[in-house]
Amino acid sequence: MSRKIKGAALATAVALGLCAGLGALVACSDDNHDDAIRTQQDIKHVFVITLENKDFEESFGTDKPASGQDTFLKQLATQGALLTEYFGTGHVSLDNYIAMMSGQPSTVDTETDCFGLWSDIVDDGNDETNAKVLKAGTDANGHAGGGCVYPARVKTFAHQLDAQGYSWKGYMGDMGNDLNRDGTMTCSFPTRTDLLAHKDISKTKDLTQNAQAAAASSDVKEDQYATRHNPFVYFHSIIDDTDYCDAHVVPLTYPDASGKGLEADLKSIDTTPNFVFVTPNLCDDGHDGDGTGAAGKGCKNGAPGGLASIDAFLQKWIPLIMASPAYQKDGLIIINFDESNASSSPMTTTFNSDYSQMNLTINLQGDSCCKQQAGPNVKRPDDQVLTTLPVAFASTLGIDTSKLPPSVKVIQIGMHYVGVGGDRTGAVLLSKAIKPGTVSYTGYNHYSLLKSLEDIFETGEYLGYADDEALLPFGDDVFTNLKK
Amino acid sequence: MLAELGRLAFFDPSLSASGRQSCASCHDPAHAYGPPNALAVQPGGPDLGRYGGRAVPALRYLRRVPIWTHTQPGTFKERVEIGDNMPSGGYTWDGRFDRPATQAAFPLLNADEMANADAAAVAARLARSRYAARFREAFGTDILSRPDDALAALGQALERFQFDDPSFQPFDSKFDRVLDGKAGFSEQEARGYALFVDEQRGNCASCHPVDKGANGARPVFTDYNFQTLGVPRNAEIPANADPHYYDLGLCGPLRRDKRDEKSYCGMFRTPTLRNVAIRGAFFHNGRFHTLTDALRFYVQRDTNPEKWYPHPDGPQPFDDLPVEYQGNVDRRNAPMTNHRGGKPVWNDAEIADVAAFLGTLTDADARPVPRAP
Repeated sequence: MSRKIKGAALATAVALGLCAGLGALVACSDDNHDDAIRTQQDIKHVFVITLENKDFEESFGTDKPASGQDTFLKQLATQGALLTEYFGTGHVSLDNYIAMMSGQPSTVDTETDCFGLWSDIVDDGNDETNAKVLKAGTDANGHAGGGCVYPARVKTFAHQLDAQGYSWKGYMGDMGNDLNRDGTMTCSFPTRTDLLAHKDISKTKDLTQNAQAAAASSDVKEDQYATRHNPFVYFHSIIDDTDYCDAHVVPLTYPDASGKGLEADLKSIDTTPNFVFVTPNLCDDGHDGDGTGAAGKGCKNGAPGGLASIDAFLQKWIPLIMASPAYQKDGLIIINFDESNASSSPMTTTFNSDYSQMNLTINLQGDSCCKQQAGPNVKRPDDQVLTTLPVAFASTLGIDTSKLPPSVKVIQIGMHYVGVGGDRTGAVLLSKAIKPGTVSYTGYNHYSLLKSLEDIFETGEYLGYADDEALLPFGDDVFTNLKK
Repeated sequence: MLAELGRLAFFDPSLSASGRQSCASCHDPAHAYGPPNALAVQPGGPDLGRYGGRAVPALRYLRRVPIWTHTQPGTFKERVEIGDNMPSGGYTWDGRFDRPATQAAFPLLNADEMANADAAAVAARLARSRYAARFREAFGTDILSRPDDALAALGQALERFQFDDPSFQPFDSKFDRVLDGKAGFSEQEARGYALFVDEQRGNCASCHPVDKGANGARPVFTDYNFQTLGVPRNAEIPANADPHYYDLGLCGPLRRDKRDEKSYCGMFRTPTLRNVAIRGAFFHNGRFHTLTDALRFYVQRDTNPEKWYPHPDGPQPFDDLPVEYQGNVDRRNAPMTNHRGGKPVWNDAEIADVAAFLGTLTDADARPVPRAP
């Protein structure tokens, strides 16, 4: 083993010497055969960057209003593989992240981002049709099939990496910027934060759902960390060992003067984890703002958000990752989106008999691929009432109330879940194992991602719904430049 | 240095056109830097014969005010999901200033307050002040010959005074001692606290949070969000003599950049409740003069509208909002969710309990203002 490492280090040095004069973003030459990627399993460093809420046609098409905001991402798509049939596995955010890292499907609470109590998932045994999927009982919110945090027996991809001796870290944008809000700089999650605030954790809610603006005095820091985009803290198997969690779930850039963070970790192969999961903050991942830069339509920090901020984030970080020794040696970058923007189906409206109430239904098409199953905790189709708003307030959400009958006083907003998926988002993979210009039309989703990661790192088993024979991992359609 | 300059300017009446009004005239340190009387609005102008349009807020505990924002998720579904993602932050009742340094120019130039004609007038008064030399030392020897820069520099000095002087954030109320385990609530205060935080009854803490931050930040009893409470019109404000005049807060007329956002009309920023019990004028228009009345309004606005509004059954039940903005009034958050004839969530004894709790938020040195005649 040690001999192998010494050989690899020497090869890296040679490769870096060859690469130094190139100054280009593209991966360095792999003429040195020690660094050649012959099989997927030769990939030893994977960087996943998960972005938020964009349709495939927005991110990679040309005819949507936001399509012009991400020229860099579109350029990246031509330098590696564009997965045109990559799908999210749920609506809204959280269940997608959990699927990627554990293979577990949605609960009633994870499919609504755990806006209620930050509750434990009650272990109700395994799903009858898939023993690797947990069946959720009734949680503290009173939701059958509900709950947010998985019991300790549910393992994640992180544990598989541990077992194989691979290193990993989750890098979270803005985590710990404001310790009054996030509690801790590393491994921040709501009950930990509430314990530090001496609050009753039986009533804990996630107070990082909304981004926070800074105060002029600097007493309050800008902080756009969102727990619900950090999959690792939804597993007792991770958070119950706080030392372990603190060591692995860290800020993307430490807000203190330590200089620590991903940029520092990229400087050498020894400090770059084998698996890197990057969650940008609520602006950088495109969640907040519309990307236009219009006044009042941006993020808490004044940036435009949307695909424009995604592009700015990628323009900073992709070159840094690509220039890292780890990536140049045996790296793979995966850029995906958690889900679509859920706007592919038009909303439907009905009125009650006296036209005092409008019922507005958000139709979540939930397109999926790969015969994705709903799992034991949620059903499809399904209907939920989200809220009832005074008609005037509805305009703050972008509803054009001027065209409504004047008799309408309130708007009831509900969701109609059609399918179980998170719609087609697309994904981009970059590696010297991939020929520039590769385009795949194979159906993939977040479970496919997990299955692929498990293949790459030879974990020996597939977790949750990644263990589905019908599910394809990334194959030769993606890795088009494996050396023979 | 700057904070000391700011202190000198804060207490300097010579900076006003009348020569008799300083910042401290309306923001009296004896009253937690709030107004010294129970008037709904304070006198000002060249001869102190004019009146402002809004109740004067206290200046304590403003370090944590975030800049004004109203950030929304890009997808409609998540905008709905985060339904309480209201406009937030900024200084003054309408949040139009992101920091005290820029806010300071307003009262200096407002014809109803210190009434300087322009920046040059302020600079000229600064040049005659006893601290003019120190001002030049801090900002440059020619600073007072550059009026706009001088006004901005004065704002910086006033900001530093408000941010840095310990008298603006003493955190020495009984509530703070309770928080530190050094005192206990009386039985009545404890009952009031329980009502204050009860989501099903008072629900006050949903907008006026009571908890420390995880890193020890003490609560300042505001979430800095904007709400439309539908506070009744106050005839004590001279501007309200014009029946066509409405102070619509976030959508104007004083604030100009959000006039097209009709859903903002009637919104004002949630104030801190620290030192609320010593005040004599409550809400943005000073409509109520006792804390008990202010609390009663919250719990009886919808159950007994005839107590508060002249025409509760007409097209304009909330009489300080034009007809077209009536729907903006908050009916989503308890206790503003009741109905006419319903049982108020608090009775008079419970209102007294909550008032007693709020009394624990009074700083050690803060004196109540004289009651209104």
